Amino acid sequence: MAEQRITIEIDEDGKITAKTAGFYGEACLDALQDLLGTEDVPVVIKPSDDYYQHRRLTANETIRQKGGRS
Amino acid sequence: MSAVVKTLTPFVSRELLLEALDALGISYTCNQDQIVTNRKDYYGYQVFSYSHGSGKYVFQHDSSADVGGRWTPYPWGANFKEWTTVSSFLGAVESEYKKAYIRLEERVEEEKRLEVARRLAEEEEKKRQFVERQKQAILEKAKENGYSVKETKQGDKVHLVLVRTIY
Repeated sequence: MAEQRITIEIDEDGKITAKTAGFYGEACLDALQDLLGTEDVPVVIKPSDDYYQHRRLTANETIRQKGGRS
Repeated sequence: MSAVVKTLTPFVSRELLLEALDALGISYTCNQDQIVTNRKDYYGYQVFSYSHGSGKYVFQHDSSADVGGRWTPYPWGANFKEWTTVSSFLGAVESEYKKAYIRLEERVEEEKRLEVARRLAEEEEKKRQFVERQKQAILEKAKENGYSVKETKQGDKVHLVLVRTIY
C-alpha cells in the first residue's frame, strides 16, 4: 500500500506548478499529463530521486540479465 | 504710433462656448450655425455665428457701441447689465471658455483612466474565469482517477493537494 500525492499550485495567471511524490519513473509525468492535459507544455521539469529510482533498477536488472546469459 | 494687438482665443468649439455662456449666466438660443445671446443692441440680439471659412465662432454686434474697448454712450439702448462693452463681454467669455477647456481635459483624462481601469478589470475577470475552469478540469480528472482533493487558497494562488492510495 503506497500513497501517491500530487501538489498543484495555480497562480493568478493560470500558471501551474505541480509536484509529485510516491510515483516511480515516468509514471509521475503520465499522471500529471492525465490531470493537466496535453495542451500545456511544461517549461521546467525537475526530476526527483523517485524519478530515477525506477530507471536505476531497470539498468541494474538489464546488466544482471546480460551477465547471466554470458 | 505703436500698437499692440491681441486677439481673443478663437472660439472653435461650440460645446465649450455654450459651457462658457452657461457659466456666465447668459441665456441663448441655438440655430444651426448660430448661438443667439440675450444681449441686445441696435441691430438686435448679439450672435455668435460660426464661420466655416475660418472654423471659429465670430461675435456679431453693433461695433459702434464699443469703440476700442471703451464704453461710449449708446443712444439706441442696450440691455447689458454686466460687461457693458463687447470686449469686456468677450474677455469674460474667453476666460470661461479656457476654464471649460481645462474641465474638458480633466473629463477626458478621467474617462481615459476609467476606460483603462475597465479594461484591466475585464482582463482580470478573464484570468479569474480561466483559472476557475482550469481548476475544475483538474478536479474532475482527479476524481476520475481516484484522488481525494484538499483545496486551499493562499493569496491569489490556488493550492490543490491530490492524494490516492495504491495497493
